[in-house]
Parts: sequence; C-alpha cells; structure tokens
Amino acid sequence: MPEIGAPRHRGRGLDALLLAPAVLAVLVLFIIPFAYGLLLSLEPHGVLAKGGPLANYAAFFGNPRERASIWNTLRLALPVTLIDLAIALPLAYRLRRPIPGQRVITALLVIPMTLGTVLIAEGMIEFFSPAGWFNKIALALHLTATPLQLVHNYTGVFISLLISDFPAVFLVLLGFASGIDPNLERAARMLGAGWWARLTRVTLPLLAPGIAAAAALSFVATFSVFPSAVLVGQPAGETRVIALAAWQAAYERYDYSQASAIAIVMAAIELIFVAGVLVLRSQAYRGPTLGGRA
Amino acid sequence: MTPENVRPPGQPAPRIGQLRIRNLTKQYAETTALRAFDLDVHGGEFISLLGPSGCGKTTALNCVAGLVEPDGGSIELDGRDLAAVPPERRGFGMVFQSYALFPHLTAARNVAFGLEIMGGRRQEITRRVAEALALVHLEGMADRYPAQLSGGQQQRVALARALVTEPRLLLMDEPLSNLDAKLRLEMRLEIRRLHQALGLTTLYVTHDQEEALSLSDRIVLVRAGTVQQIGTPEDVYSQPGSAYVANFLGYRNLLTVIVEESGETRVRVAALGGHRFVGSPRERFANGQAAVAAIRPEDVEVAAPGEDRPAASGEGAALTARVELTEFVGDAFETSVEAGGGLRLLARTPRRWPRGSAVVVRLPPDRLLVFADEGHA
Repeated sequence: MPEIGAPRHRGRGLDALLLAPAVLAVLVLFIIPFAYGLLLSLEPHGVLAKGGPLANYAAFFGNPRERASIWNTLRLALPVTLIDLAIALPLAYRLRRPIPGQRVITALLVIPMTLGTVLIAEGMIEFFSPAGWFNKIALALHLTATPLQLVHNYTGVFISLLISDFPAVFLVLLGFASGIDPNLERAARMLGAGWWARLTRVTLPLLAPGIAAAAALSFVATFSVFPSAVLVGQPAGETRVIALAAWQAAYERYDYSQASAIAIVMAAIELIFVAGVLVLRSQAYRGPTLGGRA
Repeated sequence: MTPENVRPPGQPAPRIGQLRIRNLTKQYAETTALRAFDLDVHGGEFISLLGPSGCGKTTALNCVAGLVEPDGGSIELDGRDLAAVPPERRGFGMVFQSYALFPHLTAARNVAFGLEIMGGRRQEITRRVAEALALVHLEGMADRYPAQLSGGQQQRVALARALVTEPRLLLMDEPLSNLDAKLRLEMRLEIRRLHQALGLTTLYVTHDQEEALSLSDRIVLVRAGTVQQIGTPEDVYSQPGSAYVANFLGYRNLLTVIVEESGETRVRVAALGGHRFVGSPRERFANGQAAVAAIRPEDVEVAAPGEDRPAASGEGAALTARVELTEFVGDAFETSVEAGGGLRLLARTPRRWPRGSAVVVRLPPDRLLVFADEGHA
C-alpha cells in the first residue's frame, strides 16, 4: 500500500533504489558463493573424479569418521539452543518492562557478544582448567575429590557455546517480549487466569514467533561452531564438528571440492532445521501482539 | 439510594450488596494518585468516576480491580476485605480503554476465555459464548480475529468477554474514548441497556461529562485523587459544589471576579472591565474576596439592542457586547461575545449573529453561580 502523499510511480522507483544495496549484498555475499560452492562440490578431484558428480557426497557419508562430524555438531547445537532459550525466555519476559537496574542487567547479559569466541575460550581455559579457579574452589569446598575435566572436551565447547550464543537469543526474545501489550495479561487476570493459565494461554502463544526466530538464529550460529571446538574442545575426537571436517578437507588435504560438499551438507542441515521451525511457527499465531485496535 | 425499590419487574437482582471504599491512598514516585478516597457502591448501581486525566480515577478503578495495590485504606465487598484477594479471584469484569482483546484468539475464543478458565462443559461454554455475542449483536463475527474487526466491534467483544462470566461488579475504564462520535452514542445506549437487563453493578471511569450524565445513577467527581462531589446527574449538573465541578459539567464561562456585596441568596460581583453581575452564592463570601462566577453558554441570554426583554431574565443587569465569532454546532450556534475590557462570554444562541454585530447580553442571577476561587483549572 503506498504511503499517503507519496505518488505511486515515484514510490516504486525509490523502493527499487533503496532495495538495491540489500539485493546486491545477498547476491554477491551469499547466492554467488553458494552457487559456486555447489558447482565446485559436484566436480570431484583426484581419486574421486571418476565417481561421478556426487562422489564427494558419497565419500563424506561413506566414511564413518566424516559422517560422525554431523552428530558431533548436532549434540552441541541442539542442547545449547534449547538451554539458552530456556534461560533467556524467563529473563527476557521479566525484563520486558522497565524495572530498577534493568539497563545494567541487560548490559551484563549482552557482554558475551562483545567478547568473541576466542576471548571466551582463553578465559575458560584459565578458569575451568584442572588447575584453574573453578576447580580450586570446588576442591576447597570438597565438592569434588579430583579436579573436573571441563575444557578440551565436549563440556568445554558446550559451555563456550552456551555463553557466546546467549546474547543473541536473549536480545531477540527481549524484542518480542517487550512488544506484548501488558494489558493483555491484566485482562487475563480479570478473567480469572492464574499465572500458569496466563503463561500458557497468553504469553507463550504471543511469544511463539520470537521463540522460533531465536531458535533458528541460535541453531545456525551453534551448528557452524569452529574456533571453540578447537580451542576448548577435543578437535581430533568428540568435538570434531562439521565445520572442522570441511576445514581439514580444504586446508589439510587441499581438496576444495570435497570441502565444498561438506559445507553444502552443513547448509542443508541448517536449512532443514530452520524450515522445521518455520513450519511449527506457522501453526502458532503470527499477527500483532497488541490487544484490540490492531 | 436503594435500587431494590426502583428495579422494574423482570430485572435480575444485583449480585452484590455493597462495595465500600474507605480512605484509599496511593502514592507514585512523584505524584499522589489517591488520597483519602471514599466511596460506597450499592448493588445494581451505575456509578461514574468523572474527572480530567491524571485525577486518580483510573487508579481508583485499578485498586478495586486489584491490579494496583493501594498504599492505605480498605476496599470491602459485602463486609469482606479484598486486600488479600488477587484480581483473578475477585470475580469482577473489566473493560479496558484499549479493549485488550487477545490478538491470537477469535472473537468467540476471546469471549470463552474466562469460562474456559472457570472450567465447565464444552457445550455449555459454546452456548454461553453464543448468547453473549448475541447480546452485543455480534452473532456473525464469532470466528473473526480482533484485527479483522472494527473498533466498535472490538469494543462489543470486550464487553461480551467481561459480561459472559457474570461478574459481581463490572469495571469500565473509558471504554468509549476510542470510538467515533456516532458509535459512542450507540454504545452508550447499549451499555446502559445491558446494565439494566443483566442487573449489573457498574463502576465506570470517564472524562466525558455527557457520558457520565447520561449513563449514571450517581456521578463521583474526582479531583487530585480525592472525591470532590457525589450526586445524581441532575444534582451535580444543576448544583455543582465547586468551580472545579462546574468547569467539568459544562459551565464553560468561568469569570474571575471580586465580591462586592455578599448576601444570603444573592451576591454582587465585579468582573474584568468593571462589569457588575448579580449571582447566586454557593458559599459564604466576605466583601472584597476573590471568587469565580460560572455560567453555562445555554444560560447566557443574547438579544439585539432593540429586542432586549429585561422581564424575561429578571434582575440581571444587561451589558452591551460585540459578537466575535459564531460557530454552528448542529442544533444551535455558539456565539462568542466581547463585552469590553477583555470580558469574553460564550453563549448558545438559536440564531446566527453576524460577526461584529452589537448585542445585549444578560446573565440570569439564578444561573450565575459564584464559587470560592480555589484554582479551578
């Protein structure tokens, strides 16, 4: 619908002009590299060259060690996404209205975003290593008899992702939660709804689109984990994630074609997850979150 | 007032005896929202809280609802203190200014919300929802979402949603302020009809004097968090207790005056430009005291210099004035006149006075009410 006062034809031209940088960016930064990678993955090199266009994919799925990288990544990405959602949801809901200290709390929760995975990993090695503060405190308090192995394994990557992924999930949910009209909850109260009924019948249904968006963002971010899998993980074993498999193909074996195939598999899994979330979301309500007079 | 005596046959009995509000106070960070607020609401009554925005009327309503916790005072329903009862257990219905319809639920599901919470058989709920929608003439709209309904229809859904649970007390917070003029009149009649037909007890917040006058059994004028005057619409309309109340009830001419001669039933005052009037004192005055003289536009008499009939308007002194502005308002004209010395008066006249014409203006002493000057604005 054209804006009032804006002539239709001029509006169209302006729209196209304003849209151009975004279209160009998507084209140059996403579609062209993606298409290039897809084509590259269908032209196997070396011994695989004789196996036809899908030989790279056959090699990846045929090799148990390569195949396992999918599972290694999923068992990080899925629980991290779920746990971050579970932590961020009540916090975002609580902080959706101005309360004393809200700015400080929000700032603290968003800080991990500014650190980057490498800094978080360095901090974690200091803090969680067998001789680190965490184990010293745990030993002193007799919570454990021997130092806990919390870095250079699955747990290390898990904790690192939990920290680095949280701010984005929190901010997305905060945006959605603060858009919900507070009168809706008051209306529900006046109709006899206790906190559980208000949560399940009003708040969660209205937050569903936000939860879907946060879940999709979080999964894609954690599924492409790379630095922390190396720095605080066990890259040769249980945290050999799919991005690492692609990196090794490209820069240890110099097989860009195989690396492209792995990257395409990675993208496909992310797309399947996002599509699944969007389907679930379409079942839920998707309209305005302000009561009445919409 | 005992509504039992005046209830027409066939009207259901009210669901409460009496709501007693005593000495309610509420302080927000900077402002006092309520102080020493007292009110009794009898079963079956329609009571309006009338006042400008920020006077505390909505805070009072929210305290009754339980959505705002008062700092002090008590609210009792039939002898039971409500302080410890959360809003969801009070059994009151509420219609919000913004309607607060659940945007993710259809009209029917919005109306069903309260019944579903209470529990009960599916068929029973469906039947009562259909009845409630019929009550507000929305039979065909059951499956529409709020965003697909017009403002008036949303308002009706909000009303049906509040009524379907048969609330003991119906609370309404400026429910008509978002509607256009025609719909507002229509819904006003509807609200009064439902109030009577269902034997409701209603507490209604508004800043619109017409709404309050037409709907209410009693009007509560709220000022700065406290009750300024309570009375029937007729009472507060003809006998406002203060310049503040008068200002709110259509006394659009408020003149700052000095009392010159004070008596039992008449008081002589001097206004801007040295004009002298005789009015009815609403309190005791000392000579020389500052006061406010109030008169409604419809009580200001305007005549052509030759046609002035002093007999009709009694003892009020005539003053000559010049017409500054005439506005057509449908059934009459609103004529603004300047009487010299900066004294301006607004009159409601049956005819259009040309701009600049000389007229004779009279203020009938019975209709010119003189109040103490206490800062009415």
